[in-house]
Amino acid sequence: MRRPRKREGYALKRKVIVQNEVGLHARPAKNLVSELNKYTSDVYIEKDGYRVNAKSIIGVLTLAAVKGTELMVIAEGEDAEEVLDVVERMFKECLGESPQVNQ
Amino acid sequence: MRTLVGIGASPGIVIGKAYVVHSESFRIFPRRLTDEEVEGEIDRFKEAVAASRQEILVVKEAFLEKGHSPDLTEIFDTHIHLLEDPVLTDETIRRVREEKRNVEFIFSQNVEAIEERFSSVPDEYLRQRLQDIQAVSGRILRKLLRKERQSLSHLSEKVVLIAHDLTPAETASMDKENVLAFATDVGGRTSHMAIMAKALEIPAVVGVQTVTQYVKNDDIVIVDGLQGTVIVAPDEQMLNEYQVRRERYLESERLLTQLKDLPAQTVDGHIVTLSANIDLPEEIGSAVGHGASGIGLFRTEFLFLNRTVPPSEDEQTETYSQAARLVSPDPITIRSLDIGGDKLLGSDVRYQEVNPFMGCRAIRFCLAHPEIFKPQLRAILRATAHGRVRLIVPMVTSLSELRRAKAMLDEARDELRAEGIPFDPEMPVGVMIETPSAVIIADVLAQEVDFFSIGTNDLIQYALAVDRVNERIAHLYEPTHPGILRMLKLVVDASRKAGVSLSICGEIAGDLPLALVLVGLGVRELSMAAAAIPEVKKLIRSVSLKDIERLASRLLELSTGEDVRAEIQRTIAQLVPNHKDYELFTWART
Repeated sequence: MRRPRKREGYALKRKVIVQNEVGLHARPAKNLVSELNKYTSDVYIEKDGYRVNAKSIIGVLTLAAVKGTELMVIAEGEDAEEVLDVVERMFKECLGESPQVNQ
Repeated sequence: MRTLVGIGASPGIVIGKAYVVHSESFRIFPRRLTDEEVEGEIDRFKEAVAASRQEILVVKEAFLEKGHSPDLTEIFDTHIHLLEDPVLTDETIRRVREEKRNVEFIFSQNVEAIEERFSSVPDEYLRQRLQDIQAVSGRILRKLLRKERQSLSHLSEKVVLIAHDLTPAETASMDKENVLAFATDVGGRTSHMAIMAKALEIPAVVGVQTVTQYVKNDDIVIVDGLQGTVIVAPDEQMLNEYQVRRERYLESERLLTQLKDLPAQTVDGHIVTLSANIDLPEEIGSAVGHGASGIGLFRTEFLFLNRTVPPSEDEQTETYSQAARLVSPDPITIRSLDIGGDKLLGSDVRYQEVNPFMGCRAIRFCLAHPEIFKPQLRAILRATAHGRVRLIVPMVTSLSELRRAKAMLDEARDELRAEGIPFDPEMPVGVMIETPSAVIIADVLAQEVDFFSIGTNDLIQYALAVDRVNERIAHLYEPTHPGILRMLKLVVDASRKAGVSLSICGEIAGDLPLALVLVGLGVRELSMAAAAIPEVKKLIRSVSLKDIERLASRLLELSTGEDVRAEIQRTIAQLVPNHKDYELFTWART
């Protein structure tokens, strides 16, 4: 699947913090990845200089980010701004895992 | 001869010839591609991914068609997601274009990099996901190399499979005719292999660690799925012993058909209720098949393990309701969560305790975490609409604890009522008697519960201060200790006086001589592993209550565990003529 051409130099960054009690585990990672795959931008996450593809569950899991970890999200592409807004909101909302267990 | 110890994942005893599924080590050499070859190489990769996906789907469908629960197939969906992960696929394709080398080489380099990254992840739970990635990437690689893994579905003779690991797809597609049993290096009691082996009724031992090192093709091996051992190249004596054990096991399976519909009734007409302990709704079929009248203990920990977020109330409601329906019209006793934070969250360092056995576990953990406890209570209440559900609370040490738990239950009831959700307001509530303090205050607890169940495994450990996993003192774990017998007597008396029902759900309920002692002491419900039910039933049907009551009162007079065992042995030799068939005191053998 070919993505539309990216505009040169259109890489945006934003810091987020992992708020999930148990860190960036399988389920939150899956929620993040499946949401990001709806967008055309390339998205990466960096932790201490280690960069992974944020559209890959394998990539995101290898971050092994525990609660409180600061991550840099980088988006490149037409909808980069929108992607960062979505990512920021998702991290604030614990990536779809509400802190209350009872739904 | 060598005895290897693992985890009994699926019951049964098998003696057979080994067939070793070799761990894969592929030799892959780099090869330069010409510009013309590149796209063809990429197509070959895409085909391999598509074919792998197709295979997984086929296995999943076939497994579902055999009538297995969809819960068991969730793992296949996970694998399909992983197959399509860009780090595996897009990254491989990109690098083939860029580096112009054969795709097997690039792909395996890629997987190695992922493995390396994962192996340094400090989190045990996440590290385990690596097994899923390896299962998937191995499948793709085999397709690329046109090397089929030794097929397990078309074995031509009856074998015991020995493997480092089996993928869920391999386990699910095993042919029960030819796979007598299996043993693996890795895996735990709740691994996919274990769950599927149980569903398929193939005896299995997992987590042996070194089984592939010690077993060669055609070695004779014994797989004991009951005790979790694998014996390689047994000597004659061991072989004979296991032939006897195997006969006994098969005999007990045969007893099933004879005794299944008969009550566990003593010759003088007293009926004992035999029920089963289970971890999963999937085990109910086998429990009923073994003649269980109800489920005396449904442990709910399984639902909470291997995941980072507790199951939702709805998910729990579904599981408990399904179980209640399957057991109906017999009752099912659901035990609220009996673990601590260490196990629940797998990785979280903050929950590690120096002494978890005396730490924040079971009811203590639940009371400290209403966000976990309340949804479970609501789910259990909601399940009462689907069968005869009873709730039991573990690890209670004081009346205050019980009251706090019941207050939480009242809140849950009020909420459900307000929300108009149906449930049985009269659901019986009981406590596990498994701490010495609960034994001593049993008369007090009895005033505020509907029933007791004695959890002898924990009670013995706490009362004798013995950790049975500690080899140096394991011999001190002694169910026949006079202190234990007196404790049991105390609880029996308290329950009778207050008119609350009493059952026993520890391992000793399924231990033949001790089962008799328990009935003699006045217990009328024994809950045990389903496989033990037929023999216990047969034994109870061969004695009179009067005789075993006399035995019990004699035992209460004795001063040492040895004396107690000798007296039991002597009496059983008199009461049950073919007593040699019975393996006395199974706990003492392990």
